[in-house]
Amino acid sequence: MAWAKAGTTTLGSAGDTCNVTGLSNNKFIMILFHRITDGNTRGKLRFNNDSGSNYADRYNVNGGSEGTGTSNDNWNRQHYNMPNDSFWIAYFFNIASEEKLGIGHLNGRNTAGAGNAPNRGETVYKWANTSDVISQVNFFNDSTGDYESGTNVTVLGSDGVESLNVQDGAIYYDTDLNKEYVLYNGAWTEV
Amino acid sequence: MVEWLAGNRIRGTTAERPNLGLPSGSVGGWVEVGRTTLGSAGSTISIDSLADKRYYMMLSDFQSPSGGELPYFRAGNGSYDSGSNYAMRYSADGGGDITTTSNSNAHFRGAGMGTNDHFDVCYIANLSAKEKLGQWSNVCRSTAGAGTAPTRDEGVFKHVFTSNPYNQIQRLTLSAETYASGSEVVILGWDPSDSHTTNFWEELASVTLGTDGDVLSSGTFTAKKYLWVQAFIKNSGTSARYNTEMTFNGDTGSNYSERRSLDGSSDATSVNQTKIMNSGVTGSNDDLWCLNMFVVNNSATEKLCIGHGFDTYAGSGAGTAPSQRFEKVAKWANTSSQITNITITNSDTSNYDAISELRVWGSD
Repeated sequence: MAWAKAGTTTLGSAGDTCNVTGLSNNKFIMILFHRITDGNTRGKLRFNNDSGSNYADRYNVNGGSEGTGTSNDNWNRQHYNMPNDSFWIAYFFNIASEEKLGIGHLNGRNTAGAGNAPNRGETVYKWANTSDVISQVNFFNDSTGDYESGTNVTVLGSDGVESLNVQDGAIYYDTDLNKEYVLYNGAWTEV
Repeated sequence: MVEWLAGNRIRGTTAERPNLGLPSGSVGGWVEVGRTTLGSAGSTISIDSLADKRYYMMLSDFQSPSGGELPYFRAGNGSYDSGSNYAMRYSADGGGDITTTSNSNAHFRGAGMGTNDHFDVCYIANLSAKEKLGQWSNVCRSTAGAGTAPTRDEGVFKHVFTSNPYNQIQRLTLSAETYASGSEVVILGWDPSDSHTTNFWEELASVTLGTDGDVLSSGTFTAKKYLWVQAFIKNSGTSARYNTEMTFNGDTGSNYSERRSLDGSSDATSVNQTKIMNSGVTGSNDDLWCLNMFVVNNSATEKLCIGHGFDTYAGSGAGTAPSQRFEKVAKWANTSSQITNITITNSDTSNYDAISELRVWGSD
């Protein structure tokens, strides 16, 4: 399958959480998080609402020295500075029996205006869970501000199973026969 | 594999012709919203009339520039913004970050790339009332042939454009320099309201190793111009070492070269190699390795790759940080074939675990 929509949440009002829940099982997922901030917020991230000390990462900010984090109860590299918007994307590998690994890229807007260059981050992630697939993506803020309305988290999955009924009027091009068929009353008829 | 096309049209083999209720599995992914391919040499590639999407993914394939251009970026809504409204941060070949502010464009490269092909992948957050935020990675072929390693840039930009979403994007040289005929920019969009079944990315290969072994191969897949590859490999329960030697189409000649940074260190290069994307040190029990990679896959030009990944050699559990984070660009100096097979081979003493997985998506 090919990168179907697995889930998305856009905040309709200010809040401190932005979650996607009820995710189906996808071996590969992509997450996009556009954090719009009112005051100081953090883009902290957990999976499946797991608040145990199960998160580790390795990160690089603005091309500087590499840093690491271990045995944390969340990841905190999905924003750069708290008062400013950010845009983060990541690819995660999601097999239930294995630690979940991720590769993330961050644009932290910095102070508004073209006079202030954005900041960037490169982070790789490890969630030390070897029994579950990722069924929830939970962003949360524990600082004084709020995520603004419009903040969005989106999850795309490699193994989407949403169904679509092929309906009357559909045209099928048969690559073996080099012929086209139209669907009418449940039967394919050569055009 | 059945392809879902625009206008309630479907394409596939006789055996794949569906009954009612076929699961499409491809609802609401990345959809193509614009494309411009140069029919003759030109200095500007404009993609207009873009649908409003919350996010864009941009693939830019620049072929045979006539000189030392930079791949500039401008965008707007109704007209291209050439005011001093862009700022960016980027690193060239793993060097220290460079920032540019109050600029009349964003440029996805710090220095000119001569007459060499180059390819970049960029994501953009395109919410109307907010500054537009983008992030990109690019690879430049450098001198043709496997004897010269490719170069790379990565960076982020913002565009102080808060009156509208984008509906047009432009890549241009801002000079007399031109890109060759065939150069192309493709804009994909994603929006929460999307329910289309016309995903740009089509799954070309999905392989789970199944039994412990040394070779993780995609098998032969349909050639596509753009490839998106992900791999997840596990050591097979021993503390012996494994490696991840990637080849294309079974070519084990010295036809590959690569540039890489490990854990943020200075770039290193390898030329005239027989493989790319090889892992660093491995060999802890059950250690994992993962890769995300994009490829521009034209038959007549060298194949250019952008890869990111890491491993867990340092140990499992949250008490140990991930290790050997890599940023790599690579090329395959083949100018006669498209990639139709990707194989990752272990030549060290351990094996890949049966759960190891390789996926390839692609599109023309």
